[in-house]
Amino acid sequence: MAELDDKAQADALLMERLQSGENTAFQELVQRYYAVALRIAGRILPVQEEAEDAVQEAFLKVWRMPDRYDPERGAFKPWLARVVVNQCLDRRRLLRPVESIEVLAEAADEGPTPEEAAQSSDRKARVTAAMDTLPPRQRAALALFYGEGMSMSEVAEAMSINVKAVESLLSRGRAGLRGALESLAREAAE
Amino acid sequence: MIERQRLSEILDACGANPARWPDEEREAAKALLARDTELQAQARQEAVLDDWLITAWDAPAPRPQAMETLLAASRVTAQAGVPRAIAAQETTGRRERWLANGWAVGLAASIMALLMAVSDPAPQAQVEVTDSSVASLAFSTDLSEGWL
Repeated sequence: MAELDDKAQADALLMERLQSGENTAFQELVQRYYAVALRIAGRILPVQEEAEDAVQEAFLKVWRMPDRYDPERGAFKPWLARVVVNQCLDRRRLLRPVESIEVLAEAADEGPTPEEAAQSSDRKARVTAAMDTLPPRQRAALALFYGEGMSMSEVAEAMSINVKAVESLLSRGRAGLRGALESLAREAAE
Repeated sequence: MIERQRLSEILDACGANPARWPDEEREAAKALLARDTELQAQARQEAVLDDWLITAWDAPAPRPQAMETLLAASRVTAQAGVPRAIAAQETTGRRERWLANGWAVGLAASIMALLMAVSDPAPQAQVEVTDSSVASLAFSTDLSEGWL
């Protein structure tokens, strides 16, 4: 059995109760992990309602198929992260890909455009606009590694890929982010 | 021992904070960084990007009503209360409707199971309809089984 700390053991017990049909266990899991799940989803999906929908679908899958969780294979939190990431990536696949800041500027109908963000010199708006230019898998890796502080092996587990692939996603994600931020800074200077 | 190229790759992927570097390479990487000015310059650039990622990349804050929708669905299903289900169907918004429809499908399936059990002459074929059976049916309309 995987080594689980106290919190992870408590989560595993909740999942065991859910597997035996206790709805209160599901409610407790939602209260514990809704915010975490939304943080992850919100960094992968740019629109909050989309992120909320992905989180809701992820939790409903936990509810509907709790037997898919196996404590022998690890803690609940990275497993939930995996369900959330899969939901988000499925949703992103349905969206039109955004390949450049220019395209993003034309397509965006919510939040600041890259130009507005750069001109306002608002760091948060700028990083959000820059992130929107990255492919979803790179965003997901960055969200888990930097947003959630997961190790590369935890990110690998959550994304069902190996550690080398995580390193590659992080590296390309950072390079893309750097390029997008520089473009925004140049546009702001013009 | 670690190659310069490898440390540059680590900085590219993991940033400038040694705590985020791979455990098995961390000490060798720190030792190399301490004596290589070119890599130190790269680390300074990566630290700027780290700061953007850690301090400026916001995640949305939970909206109470979104979490409550999820919790309410599980409470409705647990209690199998028809009035609450009707109330859920009357709520506005795509997610609320979806949840209410899932509950209705679960209830219909449970009634069918109960009728089948009643009409079956074999006593051992009786089906007990419990809260958990309703819960397991409530969201059974989603066909995406390959989600993991």
